[in-house]
Amino acid sequence: MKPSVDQLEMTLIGPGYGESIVLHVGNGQWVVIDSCIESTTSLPAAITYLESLSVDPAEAVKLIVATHWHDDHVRGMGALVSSCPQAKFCCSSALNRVEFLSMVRRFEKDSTTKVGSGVREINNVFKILTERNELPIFAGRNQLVMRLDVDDTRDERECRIWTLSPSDEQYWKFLFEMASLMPMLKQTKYRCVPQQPNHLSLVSWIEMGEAAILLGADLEETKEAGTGWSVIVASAERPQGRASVLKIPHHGSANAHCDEVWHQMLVNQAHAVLTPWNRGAGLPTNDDIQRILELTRHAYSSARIQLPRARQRNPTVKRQLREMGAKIRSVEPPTGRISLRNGGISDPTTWTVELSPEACHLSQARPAG
Amino acid sequence: MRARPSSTASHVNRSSELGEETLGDHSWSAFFERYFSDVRTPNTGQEEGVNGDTGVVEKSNIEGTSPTKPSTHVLEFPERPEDFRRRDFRSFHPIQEWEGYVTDIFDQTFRARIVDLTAGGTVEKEEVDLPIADLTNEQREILAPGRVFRWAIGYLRSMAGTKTRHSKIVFRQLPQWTERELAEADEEARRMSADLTRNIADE
Repeated sequence: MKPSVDQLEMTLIGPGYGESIVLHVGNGQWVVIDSCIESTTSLPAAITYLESLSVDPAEAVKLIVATHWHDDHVRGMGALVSSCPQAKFCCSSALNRVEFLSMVRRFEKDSTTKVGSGVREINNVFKILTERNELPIFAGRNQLVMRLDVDDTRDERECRIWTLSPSDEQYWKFLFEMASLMPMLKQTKYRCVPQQPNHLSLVSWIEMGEAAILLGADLEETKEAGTGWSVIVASAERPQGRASVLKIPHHGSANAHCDEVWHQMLVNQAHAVLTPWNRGAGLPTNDDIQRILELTRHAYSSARIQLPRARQRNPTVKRQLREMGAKIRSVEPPTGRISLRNGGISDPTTWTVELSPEACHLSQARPAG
Repeated sequence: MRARPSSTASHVNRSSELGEETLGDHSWSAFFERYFSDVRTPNTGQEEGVNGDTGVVEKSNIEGTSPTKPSTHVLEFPERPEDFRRRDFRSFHPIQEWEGYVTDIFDQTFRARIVDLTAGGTVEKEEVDLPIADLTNEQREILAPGRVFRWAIGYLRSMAGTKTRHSKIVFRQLPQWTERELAEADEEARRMSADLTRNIADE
């Protein structure tokens, strides 16, 4: 069922080689942040979700934001942009630098491997935009990127969307990273593999009336001057007020946690959501879960962390893998969904939570034991 | 006289990247001298190699040609004589193939994202940790994040009929970035940047 005209909705979808957030910002207008592929349909998860609500993405989506640039985190972004011709595209201003575009074009040059170049999606997005003669919104710190009227009868009702990062320091760190990734003359071709952390992570703040949502993307608290959450919290230019919903950054990892965010930017017992990370030991860890649950009991995961299983294989192959000690893991567990809707104009800070079968309360996100 | 090298020249013959693989070798000098009386190989003490892809004898010293003029004779050879075929002929039959790229390197293992080619996959949906000890010295030298490889598990068969289970990793010998490609990419980037920001300049 679609949200009502004055309801603010945030739906988090993932994991699925990344995550995607779909927001209803009033008056049948939608915003999509990042993209992932629905594990069952192999289509952009945002498109699948909107169509399940009988919403036409081609008309309804007004803004698409990319907080990452690498294929691993924005699968299906090209198809999403292509399917939403009414939507403006927003990304970090660093992605407009000629150096970044050169890096992308170099990796894409005659890339014919099955694993791709690693920058195909962002390359496809920029190609679509130039073909449409459309300019993206290049965003930075404390920038109001969009205002949307949400009620034709009330002039004062509007939705405002801000980006709160990256900082100048993170911008320059990204340029240094790019220099290390840049393909050079006579170098054997390889796939682009970005480094961690994501220096260009775009943190977003969405406010509609009294309700506000903080989307933490993948921003980590690096403890380096001029970077991380501390810079955002301390900024006097950011939108003030407190959010009642948080998309927890970086899968709930300790690296991305900042106490000041919870104490200064969120209401008490804010609703908090995350997508898990199924590589290695998985995120969030038990310690992460405990830390988050001490801050709010309204915490949810879009899927349970599971020991990913590889598909059934030929017995010969299984025997060989066993002898080699090689373990193949699926990196695409079933995609789950968490939807939060507020009570509209009359009750903007009360949220209703709806979980898909794969999603759960955060306390149940990790296997017991 | 036209001749063409047989498919089992002095290099590994692959009908697919990791498919049928015949490991063969023979002496071109002896073959030339036995079957072509008018062909003599140079007295360098080294085996003449043939560029197996083109069949062109790179350093020709065929009698009757000018020693100072490079020769581009293309030689076509008849069916390879039986006694020139090695008896320990082996072929590899893959059962499962992946293409992958390296994401991380640890002390004993490297991690990779892989696409299941046998299942017709087009996206890297799986991840694996593989032992570095299984790589050759040459492979360890080129092991780096982003390196693309093919990995196959199958059977190695000998002429005698024995069958051995086998795992093979081959790092793709992708071409190098050329000056032309980099220049083209940089020009495309400049045009794209100009297209994406033209209104900012106008304002």
